[in-house]
Amino acid sequence: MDLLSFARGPALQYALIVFVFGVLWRLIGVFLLATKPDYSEPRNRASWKGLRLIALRFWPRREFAARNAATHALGYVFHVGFFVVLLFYLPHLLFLEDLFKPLFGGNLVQLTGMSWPYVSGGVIMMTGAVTVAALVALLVHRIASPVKRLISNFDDYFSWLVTTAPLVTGMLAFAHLGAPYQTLLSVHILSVELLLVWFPFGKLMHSFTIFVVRGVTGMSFERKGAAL
Amino acid sequence: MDLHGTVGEALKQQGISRRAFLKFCTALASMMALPPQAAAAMAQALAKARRPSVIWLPFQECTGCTESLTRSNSPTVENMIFNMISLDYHETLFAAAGDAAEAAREKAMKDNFGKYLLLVDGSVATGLDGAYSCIGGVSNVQMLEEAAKGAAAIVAIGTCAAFGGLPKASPNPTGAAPVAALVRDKPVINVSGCPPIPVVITGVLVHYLTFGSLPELDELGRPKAFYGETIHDRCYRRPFYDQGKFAKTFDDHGARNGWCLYELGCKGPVTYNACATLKWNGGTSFPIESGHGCLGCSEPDFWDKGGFYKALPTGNWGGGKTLAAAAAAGVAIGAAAAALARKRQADIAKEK
Amino acid sequence: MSGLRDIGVKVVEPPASDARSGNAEPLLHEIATLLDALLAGGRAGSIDLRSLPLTPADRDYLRERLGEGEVRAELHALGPSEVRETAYRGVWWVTHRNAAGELCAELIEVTPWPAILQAEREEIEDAVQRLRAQLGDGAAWKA
Repeated sequence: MDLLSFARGPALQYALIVFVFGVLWRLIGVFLLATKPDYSEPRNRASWKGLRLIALRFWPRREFAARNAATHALGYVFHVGFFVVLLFYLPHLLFLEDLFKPLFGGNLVQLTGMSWPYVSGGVIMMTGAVTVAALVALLVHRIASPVKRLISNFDDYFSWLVTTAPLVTGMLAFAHLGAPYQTLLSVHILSVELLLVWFPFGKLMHSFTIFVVRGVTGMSFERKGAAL
Repeated sequence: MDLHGTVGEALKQQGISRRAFLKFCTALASMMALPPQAAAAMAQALAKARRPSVIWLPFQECTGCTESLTRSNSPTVENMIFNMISLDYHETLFAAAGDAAEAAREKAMKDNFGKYLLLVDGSVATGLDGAYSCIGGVSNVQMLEEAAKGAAAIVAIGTCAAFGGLPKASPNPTGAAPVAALVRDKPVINVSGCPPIPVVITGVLVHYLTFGSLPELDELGRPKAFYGETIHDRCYRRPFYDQGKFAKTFDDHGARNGWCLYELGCKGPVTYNACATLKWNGGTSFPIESGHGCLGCSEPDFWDKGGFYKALPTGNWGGGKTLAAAAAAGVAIGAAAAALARKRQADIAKEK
Repeated sequence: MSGLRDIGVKVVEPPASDARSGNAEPLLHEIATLLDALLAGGRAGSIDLRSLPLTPADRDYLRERLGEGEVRAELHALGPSEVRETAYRGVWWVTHRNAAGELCAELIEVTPWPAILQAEREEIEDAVQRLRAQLGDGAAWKA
């Protein structure tokens, strides 16, 4: 079996299995934890209003904004760029559509009649370049700042690697640079599979957990009457 | 007629003029992307070359490759090759049959031992000791082994001979194998395609005749002159791909305006062949120009790559059932982990 | 196949077919260089028009610029071929078609006389043999 068939076939299958299994394990494992009963008198009964913390925490608090402006901005550039490349490029959309077919029982586009917009490959390449630049800048900052370097561990560096690799290999594949196209495409797909396999076991789980954590914290604060 | 004199003599005896021959060489040089000056050199070299003995063995095939080369009403660039070689055996084209044909083959192999060109189309059935495909009681495996012994070189014509093709597709009931998997000690050129473009077959044979050696081959044994680029790299619909204009279904607005067929399963980006430049039926058209995505027919195992109408980025993964099982397992393990954590919390609380 | 022409096709946005790719102009410069080489060393040259991406508009532009000369030759060997002299002596436009009329090769040859039109010495030797055979021996009609 050649590398591309392997990457599109068994490797993808196993990577998805590990991803689904791992993510559900960790999420369910957290959701089903016992919470200590709170015997205090709630200040606000409508604690669900605290869920707005999820949205509020997307912007830094005034006290810290100036100090962390650079990393915060770079973080946003990276995240926004990453999602643009992932969700607005046609081959990725075709891949995701096919992936979610068993979940929805059919092709979502054909079922709903709606279509998701996409932009041309050239725009994606530029976005990808900017995203990789932001990632590299963030890594440099992490290594250069003595505090960040001290507290960084394997998880931090490896998560950076498995996030950057798909972007870089994807751009190389698009540009047909460095190896025959089949090889570049296979390496790109394999790098995504590495990301999927690592995802549940490192800090990449923040993609799901930030909503959980912010929601729970927000509800708890709201109940206590603390400022969000 | 001296069957094994020079090519030039053979052509003269068949009434093909020098001008016709030069025209043939010019057209072929153009298609092989050689400089036009090469045509005259090719004509000179070919005229002096000894007419080789060629034995064509058809195995587990559909005859499409032979048809591709021979189907025409008049001498064409593609099938003029038959005037230049001495086709000493071709199962399908021979008028003689049975013992007479077998005798002709054996005689040709004996008389030209070590010098004949062996052309093979169709995959070799190896299952059941080769019983799945026999000609005159002799299995393909045996016939190939015997014929390969005295061959100067072997040309595997068509994806079946080059990579196994349709018979080798899952579950491969006959144990179909490509020629190169069975013949290790002789040079094998793979001219893949289902069928291959006729002039590609001719080009390879002419190269061998002119230069007495095999053309430069890629890592799958295909001549780089014809298989060096992907369909995508030369596709005339490439501007639409670059602009993001794709046909969503057959016969929709995009399809009628000739937009890119990527979403309809075109495998052009990963298929190496000359269809986009040389085209088919004397340059009439090729699948994409006729509105259907590339099947990837010159690549190994193209039948098992997921589906002709599934776009290239879609995975060829198992399906929802295993993921559902994985999800259930994840939930179960998560619940178990939570239960363990709760028990520990309760123990700690109790200790206090 | 006439059947294909009967199938109705509606093109909503016809593609621009009068676009020139700009590849024709450098060809003219190359022809001039080949002419210089011919004058200097007597070496004939040719350019394969299929080796460059040329749009139909490019070809028309090329024909227009090169113009028509005094000689036009039809060759019938394995199908029709045409050799047309352009307005520039020594520059010939050669079109090869197969028996079905499909284009096999298209070249611009820079030469005093295209090689494909010339009769070779071997052929002339063969011709005199055949002619003398016909003249000398009335029964010998062997070709």
